[in-house]
Amino acid sequence: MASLSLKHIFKVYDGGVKAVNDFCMDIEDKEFIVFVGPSGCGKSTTLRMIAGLEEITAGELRIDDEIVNDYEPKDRNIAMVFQNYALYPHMSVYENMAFSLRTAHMPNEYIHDKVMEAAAILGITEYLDRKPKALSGGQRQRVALGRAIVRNPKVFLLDEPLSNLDAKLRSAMRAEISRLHEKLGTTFIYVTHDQVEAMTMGSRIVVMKDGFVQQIDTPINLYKYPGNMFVAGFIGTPQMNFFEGTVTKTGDEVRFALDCGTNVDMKYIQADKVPVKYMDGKHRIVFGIRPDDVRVKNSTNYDDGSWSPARAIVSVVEVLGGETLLYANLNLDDPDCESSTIIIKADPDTVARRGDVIDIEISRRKFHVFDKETEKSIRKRIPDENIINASVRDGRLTFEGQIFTLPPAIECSASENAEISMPISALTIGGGSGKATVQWTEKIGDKTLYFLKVGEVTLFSLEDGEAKYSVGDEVDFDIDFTMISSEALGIAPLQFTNTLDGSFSKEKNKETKLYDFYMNIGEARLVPTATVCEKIFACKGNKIFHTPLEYIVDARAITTAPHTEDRENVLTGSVLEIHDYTSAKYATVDVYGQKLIAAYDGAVGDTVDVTIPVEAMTIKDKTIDIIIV
Amino acid sequence: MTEKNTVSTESAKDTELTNWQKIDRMEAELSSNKPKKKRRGGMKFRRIFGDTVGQTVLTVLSILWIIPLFYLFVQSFRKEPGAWSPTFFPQEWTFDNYIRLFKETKFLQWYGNTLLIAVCSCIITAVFVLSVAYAFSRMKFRARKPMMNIMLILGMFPGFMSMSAVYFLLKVLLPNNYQSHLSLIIVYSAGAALSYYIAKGFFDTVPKSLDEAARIDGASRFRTFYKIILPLSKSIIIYTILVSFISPWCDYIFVSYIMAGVPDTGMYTVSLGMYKWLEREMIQQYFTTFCAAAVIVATPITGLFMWLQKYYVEGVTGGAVKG
Repeated sequence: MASLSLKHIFKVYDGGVKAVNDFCMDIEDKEFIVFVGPSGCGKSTTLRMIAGLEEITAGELRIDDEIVNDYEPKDRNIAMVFQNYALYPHMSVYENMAFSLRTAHMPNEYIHDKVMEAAAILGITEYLDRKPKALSGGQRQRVALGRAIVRNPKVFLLDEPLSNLDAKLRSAMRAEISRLHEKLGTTFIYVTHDQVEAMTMGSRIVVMKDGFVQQIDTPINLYKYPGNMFVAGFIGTPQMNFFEGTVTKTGDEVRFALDCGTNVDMKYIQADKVPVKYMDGKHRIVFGIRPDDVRVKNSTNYDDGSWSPARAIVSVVEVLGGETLLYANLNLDDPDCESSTIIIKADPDTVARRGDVIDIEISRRKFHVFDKETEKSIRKRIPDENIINASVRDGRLTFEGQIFTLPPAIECSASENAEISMPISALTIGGGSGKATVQWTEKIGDKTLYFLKVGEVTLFSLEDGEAKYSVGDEVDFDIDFTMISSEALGIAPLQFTNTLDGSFSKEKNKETKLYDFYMNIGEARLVPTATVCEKIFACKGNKIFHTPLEYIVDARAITTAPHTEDRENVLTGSVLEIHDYTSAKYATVDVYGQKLIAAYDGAVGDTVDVTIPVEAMTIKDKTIDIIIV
Repeated sequence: MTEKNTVSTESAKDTELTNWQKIDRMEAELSSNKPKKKRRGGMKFRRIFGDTVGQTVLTVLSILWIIPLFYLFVQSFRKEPGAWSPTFFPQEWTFDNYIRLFKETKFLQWYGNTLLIAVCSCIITAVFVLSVAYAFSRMKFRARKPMMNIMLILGMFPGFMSMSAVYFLLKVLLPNNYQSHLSLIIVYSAGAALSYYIAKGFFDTVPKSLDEAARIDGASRFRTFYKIILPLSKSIIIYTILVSFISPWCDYIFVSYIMAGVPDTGMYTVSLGMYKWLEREMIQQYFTTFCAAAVIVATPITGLFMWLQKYYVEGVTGGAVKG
């Protein structure tokens, strides 16, 4: 019955410890969201901020489009279930459940109906007269749930509700809570450290670590497309196998050379989502493969070319009945080497003993590749960028038989075979001078990822909506030259995000005898709106006047005009450079010693008025690096 | 809940209940399977030996402590007059001392005065101490730590150090009747909050999630305090009341100072009045009466202690409340 929106939520404790960093998420009505992560990752803090038990340092929390940052918990229309149940020990079960309604001065008949209804749903009718002490752990937890249900909340918050229960009981309660969610049709937010609970219950899961959101996605997508090594290792049992190594591309062949001596070979098309720049044999990568995606070689196995052979030596065999887990080692000389251990989920009939050398096969479809340094996935579901090798001559860009005219803003000397990269959003289908063949399409959420065959390379484009073109279609594509970059050619993308250093000040108004507040950028000052002021003071209080700030604004939100006269709320600057991208023109403007990019059609040396809408600005605290507004 | 949900509840009730019952049964089985803790047998001899030594020492000590009290008690029934008696037990027993106490002295008046002062300041003190302790235990405000430290340090000075200051303060506060019971009540209860720490220690053991649950249930701070926390704090309430009753009940120093020179002996409290009997010129005449008075003064407190000692111990040791 409620949607939630969390925008740039931060929690900073007095000592400067950041418990939650830039938490952004939109939660739809009736979703079952699970926050999962190791202890101390900030998941409970986030939940408590939603509940109103913990103050939000910075950011905006909306429940049903209403900003509730300053609301008391009772006014937020939420209910919470605590890990230790938090039942009132001196009250009977009935009174425990009735307490909130009594506090709200509801009539007795209403309270009775509500409590009986909740008790019936949870099967605790017969215990209503008992004190919590006389109940078992599971029953107490249900009373806690009942106490939440009677309030008819818009959002249910559950803080590790099952972690005090026995393992077997937990799985039964898990199913019941899921069913309860179905029945109540309310938004649930559930905190747990147990990835099995997260996977089985959540409609979407938020994986957190050290106060940062690692990934937000559906359980199956987290399992299939982990965004980094932490998520890959955290989700799924047994854990994913990781091996360090390098990648090389020779012609159409790609080889993952793992440090333990095993090579995983495949065609380029099977690894086309891995950026080519990693395939130089030098970049250190981590190859990840789930135990389910390795199989023991068997004569009856059907192979369509998607399995790469390897050999391993068995060290431990775990027979679980339904399946058998083999702990083997890719390093045949040293079966106990940690870094080359591979866990294989094998057929229950597999017969193997410690010391056996077995032939195994590694999937060429369902493998994962991570950057060793950043630990981020480099075989993402949606690749970050397209990389092409192009030649530039006479203001023209040529690659794979395609010819593009470069806009005047991009000046570079003639060059052959220069590497040019662009984010995939720079490549748009429909119109433009490029020609490509659709090789494959993949539906991701409400978007479609196109695999475009351009000469020898695969390029990606992400378009909104259902697939408009089918495999084999010829399409036109265009490149947004503001986004391209190339080290070899000295091209940098246009920085749309302007960051200006500044401060916040107050001045006493002589007439009204009240303080006026100003956002200072150089000598200019902007008048903030009342909402902006409110947010600033809610977050920083009086410290704001001594805090160095960063004002961040997108170039497309700024308007410019030739200078007429000095006006309030308008910055004045001189044009240093004009970037002519044919379709649009931008200028680098010097405002009080700081550079700013904005749309402007004029000449170098012009004096311009720059108007920055205050609402479009992001204000950042430079000292502790949090977004205030 | 919407109507639709209620309908689906009805239809699903059968399967539902069985599901919950299954869970209950499962849990009961699980808990019955758990191994029970067993005492290790090898320690038995040691335990008995240790217990015996401990009990013996305690018995000896308690006899030593009881002897003076017992002496006082038996002396209150002595017929022969005088402060000194050659025998431990009186040679002739009588009940006259008690009768004399009520008939010939103002003891009953003093007793009433003391009771009034003690009850009033005990109530005020208990309210102060419990609210201050709860605030320090639960609320986060900037001056919390410094205030707690200052109060702790102030509490370390003996109260009578401030006597002369208190005297002049009272003169300013109640210029017309500073030598009154009201000023004694003020003196006994004004500094009460200084002894917040035992109650705070107790409140700290009550899980904070109870407060949070109540806050989510819409209860105000005050409602949380008196509906949730106080009912769980029986032992600390009783402890606080006992302690804050005893100090005015037994105090001599402040009374003697504030009441100094009051001509009307009917204003006295028991300690002040009885002390007068022990002065050189009175002691011969009043010693046995004094013993009888002491017995009557000690009786209510002893009774209270015996009745409430369970809570008293819990209060001091910080009884844990478990959900």
